[in-house]
Amino acid sequence: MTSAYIVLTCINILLAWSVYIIMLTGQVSIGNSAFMAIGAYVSGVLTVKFDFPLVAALMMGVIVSTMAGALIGFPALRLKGVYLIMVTIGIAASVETLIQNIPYVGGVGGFGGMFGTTVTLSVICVIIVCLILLWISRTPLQRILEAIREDERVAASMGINVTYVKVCAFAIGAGIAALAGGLYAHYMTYIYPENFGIWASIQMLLYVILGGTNNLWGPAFGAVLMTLLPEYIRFLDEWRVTVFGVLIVVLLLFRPEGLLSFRTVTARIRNGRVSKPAEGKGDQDGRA
Amino acid sequence: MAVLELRELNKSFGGITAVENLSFQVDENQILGLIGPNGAGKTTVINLITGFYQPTSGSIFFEGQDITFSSIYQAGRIGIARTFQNIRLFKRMTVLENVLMGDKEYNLRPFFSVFDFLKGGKTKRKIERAYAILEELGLQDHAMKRAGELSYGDQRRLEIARSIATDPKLLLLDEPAAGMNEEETQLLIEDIGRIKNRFKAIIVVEHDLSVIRQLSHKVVAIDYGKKITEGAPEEVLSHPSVVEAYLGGSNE
Repeated sequence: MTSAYIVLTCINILLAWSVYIIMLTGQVSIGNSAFMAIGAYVSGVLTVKFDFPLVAALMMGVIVSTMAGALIGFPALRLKGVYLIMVTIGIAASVETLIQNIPYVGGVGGFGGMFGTTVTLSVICVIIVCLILLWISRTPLQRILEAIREDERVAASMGINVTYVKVCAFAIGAGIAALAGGLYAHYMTYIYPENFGIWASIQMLLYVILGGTNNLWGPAFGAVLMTLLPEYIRFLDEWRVTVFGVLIVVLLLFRPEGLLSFRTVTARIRNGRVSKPAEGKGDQDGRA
Repeated sequence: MAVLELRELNKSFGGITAVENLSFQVDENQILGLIGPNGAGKTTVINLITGFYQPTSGSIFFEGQDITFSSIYQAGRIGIARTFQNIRLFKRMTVLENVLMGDKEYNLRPFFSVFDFLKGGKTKRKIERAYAILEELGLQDHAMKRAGELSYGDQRRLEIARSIATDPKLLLLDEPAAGMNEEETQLLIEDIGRIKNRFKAIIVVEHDLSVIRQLSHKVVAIDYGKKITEGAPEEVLSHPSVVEAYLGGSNE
C-alpha cells in the first residue's frame, strides 16, 4: 500500500502547487478542482476512447485546462478578494454539474477504464513541476509575482501589466491542476464528477495555507502532511476527523504564515559585489 | 514642448468635485511645486496623471501624447514614476529587490525574465545598476535588509530610488517630506537636488513650504480642486489667497 500513498501524495503536492502559483500573485482560487476535473476527463477520454498514450493524453489535458484557465481567468481576475473567491467557487460548481450532464463521459454514473499511473510517473511529474517552480523562484518573475501580491497598483505603476501576469499565473495553475487530475484519473481507474467538487478545492487551499505561501516547499510540505497525517492518527477511529480539524486550527494559530514561511531572496550583493543567486539559499525570514 | 500638460481637468467622486477645471503645464528641466491646504486635491491630481484615477473630463498630455485615460501600467511604461504619501514599498522584499522591481526590461516582459537565469552577466549588471542607485541615495549599507525594517526617512528615500530605477522622464513626489523633521527634510532636499538631472521634469506635492521654496522653479497653488494662482515661488507663496488658504483666514 505504500505505493498508493506515494502516488496520492504526489498528486496532492501538484494540486498544492497549482494553488500556490496563483496565490503568489495574491489571488485565492477555490476553483482548481474544476481544472483538475478537466485534466482528468480530457486525458481519460483520450486514453480510453481514442487510445492515446498516457503521457500524450496528460499533456493534452494540461493544454486544454491551461487554455480554459486563461479564458476563465481573464474576466474573473478583474475581481478581487471575496468576489474572486465566489467566482472560483462558481467555476468549481458549474464544471462539476456540467460533467454530470454529459452522457458521453458517463454523467453522474462516472467514467472508467483508465489505468497506467505509476509511482515513477507521478514522481517524475512532481520533479518536473518542482524544477519549473524552482527556476521561476530564482528569477525576476518571482519578484514580479510577489510584488503584485504585496501591492498590485504599485506594481502596475512600475509598468507591469498586472492583469496579464495574473491571468498567466492562473492559467499555469490550471495546467498544473490538470496534470494532477490526469494522474488521479489514471490511478483511480474510475472517476465521478463529485471527486472534483468544491471540497477538493478547499483541501488544496488548505495544503498551501498550512504549508506557507512564501516558497514552493511550504505547499508541498503541507500536502505531504495533510495526506499522511490522517493515516497516522487512524487509531483515533471516529475522532479522527475532529482531531485532524483541531490540529489544523492549532497549527494556524501558532504559525499563521504557514509551517515553512521563509522567503528566498532573489538578488544578492555584498559590499557592492554581486554574489551568485545560488549562494542565498533559504534565508530564514521567519514570520514576515 | 511641455513635458506634461493638464487641460481643464475635472474629477468628481459622486457629487463631490475634487479637481475642477485645472490646467497647468510643466516644462523641461523644471521642478514644479504643487501646493494647497489639506484636502485641496493635490494627491488626486497625482492619481489622475498616473492613471490611478480616471478623470471625469479634460485631458492630460505627456510630451504631446494624449494620456488622459491611460491605465496605471501604461503611465508607468511611457515614463511617469511616482512616490506615495503613505509609503508603499514592497515591505517583505529586500531594499535591493525593491529597486530591481523598477527595472523596465523585466516589467515589460515578465515571463521572458525567466531566461535571465541563464545569463549571469546580465543579471549582474542589473544588480550593479540597482546598487549604484542605492549608493546615490546613501542606502547601500541597507541593500540586503528588508524594506520594512528601514527607518521612516530611509523608506521614503527607497521609494525615490525605486522610481529612479524605472528611468522615468517625469517624477511625481507626493509629500516627500511628510513626517520628517527639519534636519531630515534638509537631507531630502539635498537628495532631490542631486538626482534631479536624471529626469526631464519633477512635480513635488508638498505641505512643507520650505521644500517648495528651495526646490521649485514654478509653483501652482490649488484649493478645493481649483487653481488659485501660479508663478514663481516667492510670488505665489506671498499671494493673498494662498496665505489665506494656508492660514485659514487668520483664525489660527
